[in-house]
Amino acid sequence: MVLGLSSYLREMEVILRKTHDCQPTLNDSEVLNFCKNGFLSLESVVDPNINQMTLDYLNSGSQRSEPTDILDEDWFLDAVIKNPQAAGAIRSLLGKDFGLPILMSSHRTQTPQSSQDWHIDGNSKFGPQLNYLQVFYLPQECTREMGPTELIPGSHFMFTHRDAINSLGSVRNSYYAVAPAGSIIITHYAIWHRRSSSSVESIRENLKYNYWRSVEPNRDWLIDPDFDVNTADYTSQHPTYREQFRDAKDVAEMYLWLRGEHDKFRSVGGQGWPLPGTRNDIPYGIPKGIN
Amino acid sequence: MSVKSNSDNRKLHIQDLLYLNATANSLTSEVLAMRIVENGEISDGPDNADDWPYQCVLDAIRDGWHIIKFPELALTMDESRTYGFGFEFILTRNGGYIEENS
Repeated sequence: MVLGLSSYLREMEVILRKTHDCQPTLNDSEVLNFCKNGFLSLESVVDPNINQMTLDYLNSGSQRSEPTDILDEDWFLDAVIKNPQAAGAIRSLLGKDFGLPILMSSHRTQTPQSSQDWHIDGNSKFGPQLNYLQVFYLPQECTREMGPTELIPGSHFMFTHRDAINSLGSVRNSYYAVAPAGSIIITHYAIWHRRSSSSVESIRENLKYNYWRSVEPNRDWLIDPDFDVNTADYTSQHPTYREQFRDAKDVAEMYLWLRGEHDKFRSVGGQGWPLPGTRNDIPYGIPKGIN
Repeated sequence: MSVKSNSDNRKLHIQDLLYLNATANSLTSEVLAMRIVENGEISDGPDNADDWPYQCVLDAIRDGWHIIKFPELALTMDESRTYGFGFEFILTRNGGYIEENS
């Protein structure tokens, strides 16, 4: 069963006290790409001075795994949490008046280290709904040698027990979140991930926090007039780690959910929508009422 | 299994393991993920899949590995969602010896 937002708010008694609104920055294709991958990376979007202030803040006093008090610092709130590019992407995916983070986790690591086991964060939910986002902020550059977060594209659609994927090792075409200082990586909470192996001496800082939806999903991101939901490419990059064409169905369903049109989603099977193909007409099986 | 070495230390024969997750349950399907345990040490192999020692399960068999677990096909029988990660084969072969003080 897919919980709509009303159910999510009513059943979970979610009360968002700290919210923010801004202009969306993602267009249809970028929202669709988020559906496909389960993450997006915004490189060098935070000012270098703020990056340094963040590192200084985290280095002062006792080092904690949950330095939540940094969220009470106006400079951090404005430049990182409400960062225009990051908040614009959050706004695009979660809608207006999204809930701000109220918990900060620090994944500071002294490297070199062997890789962490693959895992999903506890309490993950799988399905087309997107009611919250997990975000990583890198106040310093993270090279491959420093053990960046490693993600499996599209894995937010693949149901697993958190501890049942620990025997996985290297994964073909996994994504290493190598990024310059000031980068922000926005992820689906259920994405499979791990800290990758590192080979140099460093202190790798990585802050993690969540944003929350407060309104029904709606296509109020940047509308691309040339985007056609009937003929859009819903397929993911090879390998998809799933049965053939399963990726296209998963992505189309999530995309329609984000548009507030999940009730219209259906797949007739065969070569019908949303499967790819070089056709001489629009696909058969397009759900009624979407355009 | 253990044997006596000349130094009176016991030599333990240890097991090597190979985890291969493939795109399908065929022995020739492409490997999606790998992890290897050799001489008691775990390794994920190279980052780049093209550099992995085996590109399919059959490659590993031809190199002396024996399958001890075939993929759990029951996980694929629900059309409503995807469970787990590909098709997991677990293979083994005789590893080396390590010495244990007696």
